[in-house]
Amino acid sequence: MTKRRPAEMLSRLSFAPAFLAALLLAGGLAAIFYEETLYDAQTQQEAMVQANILAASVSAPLFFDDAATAEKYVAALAENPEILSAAVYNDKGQIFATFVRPGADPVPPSVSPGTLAYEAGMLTVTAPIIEAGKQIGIVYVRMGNEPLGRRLLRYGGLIGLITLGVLVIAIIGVAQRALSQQAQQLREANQQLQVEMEQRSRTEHALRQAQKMEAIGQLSGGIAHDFNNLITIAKGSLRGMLRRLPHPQTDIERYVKGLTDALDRAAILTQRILAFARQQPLTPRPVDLSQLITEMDQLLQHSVGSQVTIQLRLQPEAWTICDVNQMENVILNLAINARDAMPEGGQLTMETKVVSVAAGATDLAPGEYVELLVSDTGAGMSEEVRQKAVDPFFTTKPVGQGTGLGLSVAFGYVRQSNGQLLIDSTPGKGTTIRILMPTHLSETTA
Amino acid sequence: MAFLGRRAAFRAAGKLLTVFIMLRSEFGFAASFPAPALAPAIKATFVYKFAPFIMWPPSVFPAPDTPLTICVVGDDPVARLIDEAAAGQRIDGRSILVRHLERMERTTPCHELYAADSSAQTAAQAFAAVEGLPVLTISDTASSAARGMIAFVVDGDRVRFDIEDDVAAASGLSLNSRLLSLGRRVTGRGR
Repeated sequence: MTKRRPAEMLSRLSFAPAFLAALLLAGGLAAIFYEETLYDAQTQQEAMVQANILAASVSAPLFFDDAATAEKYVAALAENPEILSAAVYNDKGQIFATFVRPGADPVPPSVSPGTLAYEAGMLTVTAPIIEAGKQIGIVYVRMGNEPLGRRLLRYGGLIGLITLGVLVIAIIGVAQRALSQQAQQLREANQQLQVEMEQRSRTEHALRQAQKMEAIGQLSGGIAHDFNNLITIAKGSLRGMLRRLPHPQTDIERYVKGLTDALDRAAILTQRILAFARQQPLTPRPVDLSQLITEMDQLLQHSVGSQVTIQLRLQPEAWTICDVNQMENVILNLAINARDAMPEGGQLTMETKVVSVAAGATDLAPGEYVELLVSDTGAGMSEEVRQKAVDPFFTTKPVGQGTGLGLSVAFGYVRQSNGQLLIDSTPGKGTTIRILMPTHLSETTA
Repeated sequence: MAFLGRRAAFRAAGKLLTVFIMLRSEFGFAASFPAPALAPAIKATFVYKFAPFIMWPPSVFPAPDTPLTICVVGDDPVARLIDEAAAGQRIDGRSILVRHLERMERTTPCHELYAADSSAQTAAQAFAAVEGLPVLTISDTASSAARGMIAFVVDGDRVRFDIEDDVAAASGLSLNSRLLSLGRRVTGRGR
């Protein structure tokens, strides 16, 4: 059983008034037709009655050869406007008395009794004249059509009523149609409202996320900056200490060397934090992202190992503007994350294309963007993990294997380059990192 | 025997039909061309033609086939033509019997009486004989001064008649209004 949608039902219903109107019209016409038939029968009856009355009234004058009196009776029919002509014939078939309305056809020279005929809209009736048990003659009566005006007047009421009925139904139909249109509009408006509400909630969520990242970035950036200065001071002090050491002091040198290495690592860490906090200096220049990935092919394959196959779907001329070194870092980082998500091996797909982004789809300005998709066929992430994935120091890797800064740095860098980083993931199916970068027409237009 | 007699009357009627038709066609002629010579013949046919418009008391027609009896007294052109005119005619299924009488007696059974003056009896005497009886009395103003209930007159070129409806009513006769409407002059109407 199919479930009928309300809209369908409404459109079905709007046929009902048209059907009703047609029914009423047909009924009215049928009534008029029936009335007309009835009227014709009545006219016939009336004509026959007229003829019989005339026959009865002229029988005595005809019997006594009183043509003058017979003429009087026949002429009396002039009172009925529908009678065009009338005549009395004697038993030898000769005309005894006649009445012919001006303009009407003359009466026929002879007739036979018992005639009832329609001819050119005129009704002809004859009746025998009986006196003393014998037929002594024939009367002839011809009636014309009722004038159109009178006929219309007769049906005026009915026609008016039908017209009124059809009008009422038409109005109801129009009103119903308007109502169903309104309902449709309302439904559409409601749908649009819902879509907008969803968009708004997404945007709000994105805004909250952005604000969170901003706050973390500022905080960690500030700390990293000061920390970097402290590292610089510490490293300078160590260098001074080394210079002043009496030679050879290999033991101390070894300790100092370890300290310097640790400080270098700390410096790299602070650099990364600064990168996430978008506070590192970038040197953007136009770059073809497809070209860049092609050049990195060997390095990527080497990084992900032999268990993972790399598939590239690159659209030529994917020009964007960004810091090339940082972009390389991001791509490498994403490849390594993908590898880590596929310990049993799998496929890594890198895809570039130019897409147009509509207003409201992301928090980016609408327009054309270069899209980089990095997909793996790995473990995927839960929604909870996905939402925290770009948070600094968040990692699902065992302690010591990841800093929890890879995606954060990528996110910070992409945001700093006026782009966007989005994560699609289905647990058990894999993850797609989607990076949108502003397009740049070509190298020369920079 | 009565049956055979009727058959014979029918045959006689057939023979006389031709004569009658000729007579009728002459009537049609009379309507458009004044011919005073035809007036008696027209009056003679009228005599029996009055019958369908008269209502007699039921007692004077004991049987459905009781003939209509027309008594004729006296001798004038109309009296002479009545036999001829009525020959073979039937009024509402009744045959017509014309009796020529020397004198009209009160006991003579008649439905209609046409009277003209004669040496034996004047029209007035004949009418007096049946006064009060349900007998339709007819006279012709052209040949007698006495007037029956119906009296023929010639009006212009047309044969017409005056009717004394009150006299007829007093005699127990009822005259049909359609006949009265044809009368030139009708007395006693609106009783």
